[in-house]
Amino acid sequence: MRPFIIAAALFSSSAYAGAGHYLLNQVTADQLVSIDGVEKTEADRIVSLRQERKALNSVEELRILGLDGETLEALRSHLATELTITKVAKGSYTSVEQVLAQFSDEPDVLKVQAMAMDYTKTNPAMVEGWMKASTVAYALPAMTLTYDKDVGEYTTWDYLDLNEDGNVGNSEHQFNTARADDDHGFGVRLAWRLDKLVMSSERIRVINEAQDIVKLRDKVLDEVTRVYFDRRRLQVDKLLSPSSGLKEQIKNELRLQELTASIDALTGGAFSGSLGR
Amino acid sequence: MPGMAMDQRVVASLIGLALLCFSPPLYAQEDGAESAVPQERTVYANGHIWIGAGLGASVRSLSTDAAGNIYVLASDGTVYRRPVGESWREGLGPTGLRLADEGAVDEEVLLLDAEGALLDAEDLTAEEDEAFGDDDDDSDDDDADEVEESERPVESAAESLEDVADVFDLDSRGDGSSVGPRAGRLIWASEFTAGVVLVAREDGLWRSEDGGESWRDVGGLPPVHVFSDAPGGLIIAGTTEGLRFSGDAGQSWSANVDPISGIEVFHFARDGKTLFAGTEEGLFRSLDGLKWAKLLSRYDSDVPVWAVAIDRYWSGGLWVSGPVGVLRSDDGGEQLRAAGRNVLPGTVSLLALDSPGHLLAAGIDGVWESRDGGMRWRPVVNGLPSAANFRLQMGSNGPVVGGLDGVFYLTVADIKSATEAPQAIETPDGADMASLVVVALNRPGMVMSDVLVRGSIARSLLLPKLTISSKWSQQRMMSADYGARSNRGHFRSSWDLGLTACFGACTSGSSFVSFTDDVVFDSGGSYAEVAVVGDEVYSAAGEGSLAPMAANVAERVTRYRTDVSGRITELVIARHRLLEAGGIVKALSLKAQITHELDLAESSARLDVYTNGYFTRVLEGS
Repeated sequence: MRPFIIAAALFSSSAYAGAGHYLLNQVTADQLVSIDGVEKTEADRIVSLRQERKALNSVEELRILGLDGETLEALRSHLATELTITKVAKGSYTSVEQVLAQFSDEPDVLKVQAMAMDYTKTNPAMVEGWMKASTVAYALPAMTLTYDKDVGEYTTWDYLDLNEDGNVGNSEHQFNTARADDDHGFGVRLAWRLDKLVMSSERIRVINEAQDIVKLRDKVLDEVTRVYFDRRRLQVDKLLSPSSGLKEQIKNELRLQELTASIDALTGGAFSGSLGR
Repeated sequence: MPGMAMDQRVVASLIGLALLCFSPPLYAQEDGAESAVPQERTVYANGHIWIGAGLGASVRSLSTDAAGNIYVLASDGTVYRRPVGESWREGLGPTGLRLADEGAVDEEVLLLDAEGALLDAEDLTAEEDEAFGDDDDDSDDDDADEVEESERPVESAAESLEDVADVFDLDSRGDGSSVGPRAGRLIWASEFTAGVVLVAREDGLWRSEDGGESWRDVGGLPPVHVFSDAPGGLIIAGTTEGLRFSGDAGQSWSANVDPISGIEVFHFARDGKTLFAGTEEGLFRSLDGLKWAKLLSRYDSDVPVWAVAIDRYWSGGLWVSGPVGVLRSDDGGEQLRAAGRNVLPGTVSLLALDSPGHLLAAGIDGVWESRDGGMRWRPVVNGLPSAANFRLQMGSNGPVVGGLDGVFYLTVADIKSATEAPQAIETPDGADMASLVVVALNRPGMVMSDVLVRGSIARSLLLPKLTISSKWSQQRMMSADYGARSNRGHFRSSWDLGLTACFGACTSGSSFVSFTDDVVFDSGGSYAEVAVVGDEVYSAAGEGSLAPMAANVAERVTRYRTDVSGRITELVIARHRLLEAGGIVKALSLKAQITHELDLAESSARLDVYTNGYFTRVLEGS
């Protein structure tokens, strides 16, 4: 094998601009911080990830750090990936198993699908949990606790009847009264919506959301499966029919990087992390 | 056996489903259609095998004449012919090996070429004993020997795109984005003029009047793709520079001024007096071979047409093939459309067979047979060492194909197997289509019972909103009057328990046990809560919106369930096709085997997507 690196790197922008643009596997934390939208802590984490994984395949691999969309976009605009061309001699393989064994250090498609489910939070168990919760929630009562306190003071004046001559009648008592109340009470109310154990608007909304999650999962997994096998076919092609021309080699290597980055985009960078480098 | 019964049901359901999916009213007999439909048609994909015809040379072009003689142009330019019932004979020598009367030649080249020709001749001598065109009543031993020979591995099978283009004789069109058949090497035997055979190769145009016994160089033509007989005794040639015609059986050639002039012509087909030409700019039609008119199909008028085949059992029925695959017309080429879902892109050779809609197609994916006008295809590659054998012709005893591995003819591999039902593919219980669909549709979020809300809403109205209230209270009161004559006070504590059951909308309340006056249920206050389902917005506060909201969700779920069922069906059918081809693929190149293995793995993974991994678990027995 004769590996060599194509110095010209590819950017998502129109051309390699030099200043402000760096190679993903060579950029320093300070250089990363100089990119608008990248914080010091994020830069440090990127460098640590690169050291941990030996090398990074693409910016998409950084998704595993949980960077937000704006930061990823800024990184895409300023970082490029080196293109390593490894000239492989045509091997003498005699069986399918022998050829496919060359890729045994890579995760199988089921693992990649699981990575994609984890990243997109579309695990069926999660959906199932929602569905159960939407029903079980109504087995619990709505509880209301109350405390009442009523304090009152009353003063009563009894006015006497006067005779026509202005004197107080003999038959009347003359007194004033005063009264004080101090009431308080504790109350608890438990309410069960038994009807909602069967059907509720919340449950319908959960079903609707669950269906959207299923659709999203199907779409993501279908896509990651397609890309996974496109990548594997390209790998097999490179192994069995290595290109002799540099142009064709670069084309194949770029395609391989693109497919790897696509899988990383769907798995949050977990795929590249699982590749034995 | 239960397992076998299940498998047969699977196959039957697959066939039934495929028929439901893919069976338009194809070739229903209509007024005016020819009625020369054989009662029984041969099904080549079932029980037939390609047998080596005893010519191991790499074949560049193949032709048969009306008498059933076969003519072959080998890759080195050598012409071989096989008269009916006889063995192969060499006619014209390889390219560069000029005849004695053709003037001065390079002696060194002559010696080298002669040496090569001698070696080839020795190979031929060794193979001459092999029968060709024998009837089906040949001895089993002979068949077995021939099968063994024909199943030898091909080391030179296509391993890259460049190789494919080379093996399949495809040529870049110059813009780097497309390819087309390579011109310049062709052999053709006239049907109308007995004995006339033309050979176009690098060293010119060669002509024979005696069925390939003797040859004469008759000058040059632009690189030729195709020759054909035309009305009026004409012979026409399709070249890279347009049409050429000859009125003297190929001795001299002229060009004509016509819409087809200057357009690269790939193929001719003849339907009675009507000629069709497949060109780089679509399909042309002519009644005399000289004046041509372009057929302006609505969508495919400019699609390159590499091959044309006329269905003589169906009025107006024809197929064309090219880079986009096989297209079909039911109106004589006026309108073209994809024949089926699998359009076989890269088909370079078509051969209409013995009944309506029955044809063979050959190209980079090997030889395929369709019995329904191209809607469904089955591979006919049993016995072919590689897919690089794609020149189809009709021989005296059936289809003949030539290519990288020589010449092969189709024969019945085993009479018994040809009459038996197709072998069922072993499918583990639970991995059949019905089980997979059930699993896929019972995933969380896909279950229809979750949204069967009509009954649910009714049941919900029968259940109460149940409220239990409990309250402990304490009251203290003190009162006094001015004269202290009536001072009094009291201290009282109490505990109340209330039960309220409210049915329906609870606007009035319905209490069956109550110790309090609190019978009004808190039904959510006055704020409006909304729910968005698809494109609809519902007020979720009022119970009246529950049914339409649920109906909308149910519709969405049903629609997606239908989509998923369709996808599972397609995936299972595609997987069964792959499994069916498994035995054949073993005879192909390692790369083809790996491609097949990856295709199978991908189909499994896609089924896992829709069944949450159930498919693989069943296959693994877990």
